[in-house]
Amino acid sequence: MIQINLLPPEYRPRTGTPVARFAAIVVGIVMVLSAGGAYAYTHFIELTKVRELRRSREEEVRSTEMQRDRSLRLQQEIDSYEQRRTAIQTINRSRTLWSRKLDQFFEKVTSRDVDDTSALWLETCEVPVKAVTLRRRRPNKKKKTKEVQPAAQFKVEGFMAMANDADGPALLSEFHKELTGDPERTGKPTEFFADFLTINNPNMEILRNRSRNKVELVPPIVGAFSYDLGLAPPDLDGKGKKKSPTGK
Amino acid sequence: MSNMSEKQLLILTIGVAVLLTGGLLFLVYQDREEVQSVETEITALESRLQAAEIEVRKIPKRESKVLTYRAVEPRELAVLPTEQHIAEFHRQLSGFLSTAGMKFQELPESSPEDSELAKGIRVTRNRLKGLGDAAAILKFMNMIENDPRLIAVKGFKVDAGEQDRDDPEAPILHEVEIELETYHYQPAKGAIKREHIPGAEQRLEDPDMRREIASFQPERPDTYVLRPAVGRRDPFVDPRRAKEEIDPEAQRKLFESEEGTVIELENLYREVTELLEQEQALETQGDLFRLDRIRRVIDEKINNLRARMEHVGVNKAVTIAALQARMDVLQENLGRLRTSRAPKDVVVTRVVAENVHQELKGHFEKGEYQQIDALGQSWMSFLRGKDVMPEAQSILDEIQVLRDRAKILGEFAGMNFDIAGRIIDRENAARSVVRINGKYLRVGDTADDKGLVKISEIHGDHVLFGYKGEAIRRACDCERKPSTGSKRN
Repeated sequence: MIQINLLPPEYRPRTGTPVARFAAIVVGIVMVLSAGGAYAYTHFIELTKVRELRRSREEEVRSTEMQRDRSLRLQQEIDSYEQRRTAIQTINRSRTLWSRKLDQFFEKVTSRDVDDTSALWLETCEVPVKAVTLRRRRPNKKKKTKEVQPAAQFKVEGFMAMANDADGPALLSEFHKELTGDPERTGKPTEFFADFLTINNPNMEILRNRSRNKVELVPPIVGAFSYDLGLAPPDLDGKGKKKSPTGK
Repeated sequence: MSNMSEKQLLILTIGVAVLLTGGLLFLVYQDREEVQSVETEITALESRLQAAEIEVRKIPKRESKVLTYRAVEPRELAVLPTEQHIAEFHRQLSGFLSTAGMKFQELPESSPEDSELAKGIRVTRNRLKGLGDAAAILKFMNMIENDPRLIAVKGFKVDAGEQDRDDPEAPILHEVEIELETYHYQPAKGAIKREHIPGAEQRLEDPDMRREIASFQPERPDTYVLRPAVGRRDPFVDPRRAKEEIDPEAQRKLFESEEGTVIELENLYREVTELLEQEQALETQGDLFRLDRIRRVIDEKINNLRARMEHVGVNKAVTIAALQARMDVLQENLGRLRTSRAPKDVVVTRVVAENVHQELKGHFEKGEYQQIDALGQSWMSFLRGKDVMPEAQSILDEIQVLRDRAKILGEFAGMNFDIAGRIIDRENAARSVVRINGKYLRVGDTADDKGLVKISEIHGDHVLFGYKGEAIRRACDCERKPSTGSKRN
């Protein structure tokens, strides 16, 4: 069915947006505008600002990291110099002046005159080669005992002449004391032994037929002895020496 | 749209509004997410920046350090040659061998290797074999070790040589193997990249940096000077001597000769003991000067005896055991004597000085000038090496005055003045005349040739002379003995 309003328009009742729809439209517009504003603020102000900040930070980081790299290159150069210096110090300070030790040892051996009843002489004298290591070894954490390894071995074999074979142990003990200074009792080692860490106990074997070209010699009895001394590790830190200005 | 009912339109309006708002909020959400992510990036960048700045702050210090290292580099590397110079090293070894007196045997091939110690440090290992006596081997090793170029003796082996049966007098040479290490510095190209430091020249002029560079102490190889070993025997040679058959006659003569030495020393010791007895007696008597003198003599004799005994010991002048036992007894006695001797008095007290002063005064009053002189000399000898107590000093001064006066009066007593006659003018003393040694002299005239003795007064019975500040009266009856003088001012 078709309904026709025959009233002239001025007599017809006024029609407008219904209140509900109007309210919905108004609320909708407010919501959309608010959201739009929030979006505009976030997108165009806040985001732009942080992007700008990031760009400037990136620039700063780039230039600072260039300087940092230079600083690190300088440190690398310093490390090379320090390593070289340490190497030179290690080479020099780990060097044992064997002529000094031999001179002191020969003095001890020859201090007994030929007329004495216990003249000494040597058969061999040896220091086996040992590699130099950089600086001091770190102590082994697994082993709780701090055992210091000798830097080198000084091995000697020789003979001692005596009038009576029963004198052997006493004479050898006397020589041992002369060599070491008996630091366990006196607390003061000899100049020779001061650089050593260990020494084996006196030992001797009486030898027969040690005559020369079948000529009887005085004193007639000869005992063979051997010594094995462990050299104390060198002072690689150079304690007591003046430190270099940039040295560690 | 027009066909839509009001309800539908309402729903449509709400729907559109919700959709639009939702879309916009989604965009806001996305932007917030991005802001969050950018902020995280900024935080990370700031962390990097902070980390980099820590390193950057170290730049000035590191630059200074690098500049110092570079400046001291030539001095630091002086101990290591920068090139191998192997030919030069071998020439040097030859020089050492010939100077030490060693015979060269072998030097195997060697080549430098990289040292494990540091980049650029190369090590050459050499094993040198040679022959020589102990002194030559020692000298050779010492020359190597004292070389300014860093050479290390890493090991060695000396085997004692044997005597040549055909030529027992020939020197015994021992075999020696020496392990040497030489080092040189040869860094690979670009091993150390040198960073450019702006204004390096100016910074090197900075006083602090100059001080730091100047204070650098480069590593110096330790050196050793061998002990004097002129009389040292070769420790690798059996020093024993062949057993000798002893001739009884030679043995007797040796005994006599050595006994003579021992007897001489024993006599010297006996002399000392006798003097010690005398010393004790003088001490009891309180004879200070003789006691002092004898003590000096005893000390001298003890020192002499010690020196003689030392000489005998060094020269092994006594080798026979029985005589050596006598020497030991003597040595022991002498040692006991030295320790038991009380130290000498080293302080002069007032009492001692007063006693001497009184004694001198007694002699002075008697006109015994010679005794004063002798006693004075003993006194001076006694004073030598001793401290004087302050309260005794004034007495010492008086003793000295007394000695000086006695000396003057003694001198005057020795002068010969023959007073033969005099004419006295009591009205005018200046006109009085005296005849001395044939000359007529008045007051003020000198009586001797040197002009030291003046006539001070002429009296009827005596003449008063003036000599070196002393007024000395001499009687006119020509007696030479003067009466006691008095000090003139």
